[in-house]
Amino acid sequence: MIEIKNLTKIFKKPIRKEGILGMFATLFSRKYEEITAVNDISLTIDDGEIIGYIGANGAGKSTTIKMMCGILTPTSGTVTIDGVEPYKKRRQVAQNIGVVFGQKTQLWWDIPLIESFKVFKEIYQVPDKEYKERMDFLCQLLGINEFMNQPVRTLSLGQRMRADLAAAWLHNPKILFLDEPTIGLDVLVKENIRKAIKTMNQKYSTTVILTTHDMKDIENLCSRIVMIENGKIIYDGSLSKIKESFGDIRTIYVTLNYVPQLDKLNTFDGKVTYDYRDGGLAIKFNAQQIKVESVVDYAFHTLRANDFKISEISIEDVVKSILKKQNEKS
Amino acid sequence: MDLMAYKFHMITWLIVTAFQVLSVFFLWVAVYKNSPHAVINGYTFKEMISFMVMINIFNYIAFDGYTGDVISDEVSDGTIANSFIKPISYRVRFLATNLGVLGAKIVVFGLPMFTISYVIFALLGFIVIESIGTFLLSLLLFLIALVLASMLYDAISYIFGVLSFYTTAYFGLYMLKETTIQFLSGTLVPLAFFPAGMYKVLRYLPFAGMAENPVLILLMRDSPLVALQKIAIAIAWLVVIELFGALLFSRASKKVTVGGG
Repeated sequence: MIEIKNLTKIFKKPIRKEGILGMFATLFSRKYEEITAVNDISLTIDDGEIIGYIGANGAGKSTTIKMMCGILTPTSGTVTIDGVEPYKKRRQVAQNIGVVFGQKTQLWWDIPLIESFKVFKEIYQVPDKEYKERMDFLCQLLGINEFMNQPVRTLSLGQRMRADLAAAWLHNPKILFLDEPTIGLDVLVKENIRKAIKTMNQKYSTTVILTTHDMKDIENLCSRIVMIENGKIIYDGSLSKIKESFGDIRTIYVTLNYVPQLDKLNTFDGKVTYDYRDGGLAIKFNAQQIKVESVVDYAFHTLRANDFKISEISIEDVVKSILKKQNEKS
Repeated sequence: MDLMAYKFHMITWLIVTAFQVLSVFFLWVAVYKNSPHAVINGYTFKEMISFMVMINIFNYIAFDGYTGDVISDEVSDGTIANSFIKPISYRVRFLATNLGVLGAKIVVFGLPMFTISYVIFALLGFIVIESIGTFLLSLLLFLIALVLASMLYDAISYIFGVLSFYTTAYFGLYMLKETTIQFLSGTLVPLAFFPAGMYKVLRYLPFAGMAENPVLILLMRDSPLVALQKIAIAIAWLVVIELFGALLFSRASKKVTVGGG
């Protein structure tokens, strides 16, 4: 179990002046500006959960993760993993966690991949039998066998990421931190990685803390999402709930063989909005306020629609609008 | 493994070292030619040449800036994050790497280079071997002193690397480290060339144990007893420096920031 209490991280950044003169000025007077990357957050994560940790760039996601795995020391507040503070007992905690930073590989750049795995086996003291068993399983799951003997620098990004994941799983960590594991990957590799994460979570009930900008990752994997903005948690709850709280917004796209006059259309007392573009009409409404049938009925019979498509709100839309709202507030 | 991956790097260094030895050689030839004394600060010409050649080879074998370089690289590109999530001590990792590199360097470069120059100097009469017994004993003591020298260098390199947690820039620290060590370890000129008062102090600093003392042991200028004393001093310094490094790390690691992503 991971417990985060009133966690805050403040970075001090020297203010540098521009240009050559400014450079010399900076040499003699050092002024610092303080940046609060993580601002008083509290959170409890149970064993076996898959948490989606989302937020805009620079919202404080990575900083939180780095404190959770003991790389950074908090300015105030605490993180405990099964009762131990990771930045105080780095080595003890390291044995129980696995980390993948999508932007930085842990593998040794110049040597064949298999050698990196062997080193990890020694570092984490994985017994021979377990190592073999898990390697076989991971090779099959992630399909890394084909490039096992290539130096890491010759691998493609997708291959490297799969190898990095395998490396993080080698010692069967109780908690897995994935910081943007699908960044820059193609659809197939992403799919593959998601499947792997799910399988490992079910098989070993690994706790997974995932940050990502790909909302498909969240929809496919996470039962719970935590949203952070400007260092503060702005949402913590289940995926379905966030959708509900936002309203069950549906959009019906219809094609018409005439140009409608938008202000003459029936708005059902302002519950339905219309948008006409390139020969198509988008009808947007909240399914909790108005019956879908009545809107569909209206579209077919009164508007004489030819073609018809209905879509639900995506998590991406939800996140987008929540972040937008936050930005407007601040 | 990395050592072999950078074959080219190693060979370039070897060539650089060879040129250094050559230029130092001609420098001292000129110095002794123009000096009215045959013995300068206790060194005859023959002793000086063998000392300078040996100490340059020694430098090449024992000094490896790897630790400080890697730490500062890890700090500047943020990969230090990966090191902090491994269940191994940050210090021990570099210690192990350094000893591995040292072993490989001794076998691949040290053995042939020292043997060839030693045999040549002995044949030319630059080095006088009084008895096989003393030779073997000083060889053994030299090996111990060599390992200690390399560990001392690595410990200092580690401290400078960790200092880059604060500065994030390493070049200045690197230059400071290199010039200090070159100057005070007897690599540029033997420590006996310093003013008498300074010499007395320098002999007991860790730097002497990093180059001059081991080479003097190899050249059998010290009695075994003196050699043992010097080794003891080096060990004491090693303990002190490692302790300081550990203390510094425990403070600095709280300050570390991870750049990028």
